[in-house]
Amino acid sequence: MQISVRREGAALVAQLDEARLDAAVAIQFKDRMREIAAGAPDRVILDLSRVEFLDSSGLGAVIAVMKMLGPERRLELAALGPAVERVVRLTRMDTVFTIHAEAP
Amino acid sequence: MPKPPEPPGARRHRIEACPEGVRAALGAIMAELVAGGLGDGARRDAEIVLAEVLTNIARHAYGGAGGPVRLALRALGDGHVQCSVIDWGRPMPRGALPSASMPDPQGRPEGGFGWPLIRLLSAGVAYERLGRRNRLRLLLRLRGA
Repeated sequence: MQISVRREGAALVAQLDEARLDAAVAIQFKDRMREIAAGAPDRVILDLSRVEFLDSSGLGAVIAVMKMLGPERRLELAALGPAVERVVRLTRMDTVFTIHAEAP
Repeated sequence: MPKPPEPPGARRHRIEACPEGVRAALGAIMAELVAGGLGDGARRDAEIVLAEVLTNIARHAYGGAGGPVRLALRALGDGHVQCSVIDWGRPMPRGALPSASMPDPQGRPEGGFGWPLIRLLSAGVAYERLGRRNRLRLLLRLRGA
């Protein structure tokens, strides 16, 4: 599970360097994001530009990360491809996450 | 063991019910469906449906212990692909398909999306317990959103 981390102003941008966020990597994703979250600022942006496929296990892991960040820190999503966007919209999780068309 | 019923002229896949097995099978199945004329939008929907079905079998029917799955695909010639999925795991709870209602997003659910997605993104789905086997029959669209 490769995640590249960079700072953009006050936000931390975590770019998932994987083509698939699915049941095969959901736990690794959560574990790696837990490490990243440990030193993260109030705003974390998950850059999904390289992710071509998201299943419900992957989505559940993203929601778990949002909850892990706690009420005082926000998880936002950026650069959703068509397949990822479809799952996020159909599950209505687009009403919960702030979604950016592009990563900063 | 009696041979499971499959539609004639079907393309058959043997799948190991584990996350890596599901990934490998999806790669092969999606390539086959695209070669059979599956459009871009329908491709996205079919891949989600099949991923959720196979992951549920690995996780719930086999409880993470692994086991065999037989999947057969057959183009019906009316814009649909019929898909039959058989496993030898535990039956569905109450012997029926799980709820089709999407969990409330405001509750920040970490699961429960799988079956509602399968129901939304397929043209039809039926479940039967046949002796020691589970059989799902799915209807996938060749063209779609």
